[in-house]
Amino acid sequence: MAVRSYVDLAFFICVMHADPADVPASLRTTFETGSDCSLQRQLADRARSLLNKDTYLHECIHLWQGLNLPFVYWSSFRAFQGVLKTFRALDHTFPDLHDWQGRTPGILRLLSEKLHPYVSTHCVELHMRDKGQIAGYQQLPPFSPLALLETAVSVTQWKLLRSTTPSPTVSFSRWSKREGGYRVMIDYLTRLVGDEELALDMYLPLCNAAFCTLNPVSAFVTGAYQYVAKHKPDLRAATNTYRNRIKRIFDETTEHLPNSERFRAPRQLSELEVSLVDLPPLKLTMREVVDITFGESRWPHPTLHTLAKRWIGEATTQPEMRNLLDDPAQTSDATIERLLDAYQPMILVRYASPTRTRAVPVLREGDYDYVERVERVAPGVHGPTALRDLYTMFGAVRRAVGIYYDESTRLCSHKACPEYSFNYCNTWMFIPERHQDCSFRDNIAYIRTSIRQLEETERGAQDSPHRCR
Amino acid sequence: MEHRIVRIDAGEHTEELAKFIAQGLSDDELDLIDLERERNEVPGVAQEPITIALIIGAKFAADAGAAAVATAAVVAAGKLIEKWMDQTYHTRQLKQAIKIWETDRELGKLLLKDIG
Repeated sequence: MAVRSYVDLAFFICVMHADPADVPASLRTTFETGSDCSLQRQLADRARSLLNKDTYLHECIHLWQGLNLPFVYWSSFRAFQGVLKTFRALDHTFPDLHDWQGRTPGILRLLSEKLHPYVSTHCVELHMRDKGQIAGYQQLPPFSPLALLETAVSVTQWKLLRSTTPSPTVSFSRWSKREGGYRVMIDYLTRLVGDEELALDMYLPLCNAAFCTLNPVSAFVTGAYQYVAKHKPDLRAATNTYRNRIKRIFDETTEHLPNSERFRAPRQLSELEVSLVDLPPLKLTMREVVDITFGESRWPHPTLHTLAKRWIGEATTQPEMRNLLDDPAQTSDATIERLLDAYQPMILVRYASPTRTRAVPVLREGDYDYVERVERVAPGVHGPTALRDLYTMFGAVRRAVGIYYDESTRLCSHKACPEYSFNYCNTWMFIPERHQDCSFRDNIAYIRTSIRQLEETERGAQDSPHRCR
Repeated sequence: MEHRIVRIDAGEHTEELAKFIAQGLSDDELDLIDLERERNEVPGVAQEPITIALIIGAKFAADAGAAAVATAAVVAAGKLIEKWMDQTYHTRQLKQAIKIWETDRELGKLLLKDIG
């Protein structure tokens, strides 16, 4: 089953499939015969209009979660780092790219990891497997952080509609049936708090507060139970009261450890081998995570860092931005429209007609560094192309370890190409008219050589006597 | 109260069919039936929901009057499936769907009664 539109939660690059039948004739001509540069320029202005309005909003809200929720930013950054480290490990182990395969590093699984919560009177324990009934514990169905995020996006979309139906539960039920929204964690929370309307009211503040910790699964369940215990029998409240109540609960129950070991730059891939069961629900803030970097080059997150800094800066004077994810209905349409233009994911538009397949990066303000680099590149021309190389490495790693990967996830449709069935090139975005002209192989060889040279330089620096002094 | 479900798979057109049914039913009819999507899951990826199967369910009360209301909603959904197939000629998908409907013959029959 083809994945039509998705955001990977390591790079936050959104891949959108433009249906040739829906593309205006003039743009279709450019897709078929235009240069990469002319296509990029046209799409920079028109990409949004090519996409389904709801899909575009859905993917933007995911990005806003990445810019505002510390756990999403943190795990995404560590996943990005994990991809690069895994690439190096695979490069050393397998001389032939087509042999690459391996285990998924824990950090890449973190958002999709389904855990089984067991609740006792004094704690929540998470288990990776179903342990059956345990004396003294209530067993809850398993869920992942991703299920929380997807449901939050759907609830946000629904709240932005500002339905006038008197019953919120009926309105949400009709909306999710008609639009195919995710509601699985609303049903889950309803079972925990015993009231669907309350679950709809408190879901976003609770979910977002849980993502301000290092373990959103544990924090979500704990927060729900604590809320009921603390506010029974007056569980319902005014809309803006939920956030304050939940904030107080989390302030009391989650610990804050400044300069914790969790932010130390891992040197080894094994240090990224984490599971949610290992992570305590310690408090995280965006200010703590937004400037984390790694490596000698002190890289921040490649696609989120600039936007997150800008959002944090703007939000200090704009309450609507600060409250958007918790209480979207209070945000004006004008603000939403502005944010949809100013804070959109980097989009890769894929166009596939019977005669031509193209993948075009649509770049945002803040990506200008990439624009210059991408525009300079033509097939066969090498250079320090950060976006191209990082994303190509990501494609090879996800094919090798299977995470972020569906067999149908690919940009190219040259079925006759010898690389097609292997699909290590699934993120290679410079797709030529003829597969014989593709520079993927040259590029991956270039990346591998560059990495080895870099490693030798690093080793040389470590062995240098100056280093010892 | 008997809760019965059928699972419908119309291949890559399943979401199109789901929307056609959900948007064609009145609010009252929609409130009477369950309409759940089965999604493909790609780990680590937040994606536009891709529906791989549609589950239609209905609760049939022992009370004849209430059961008749639920039956009417299911029949309305069946008529919409028929209309969708007439409009889109998805003969191959229909054959696939019929196989799956047989898992709950009674509800399947209700949905299919106008399709033949």
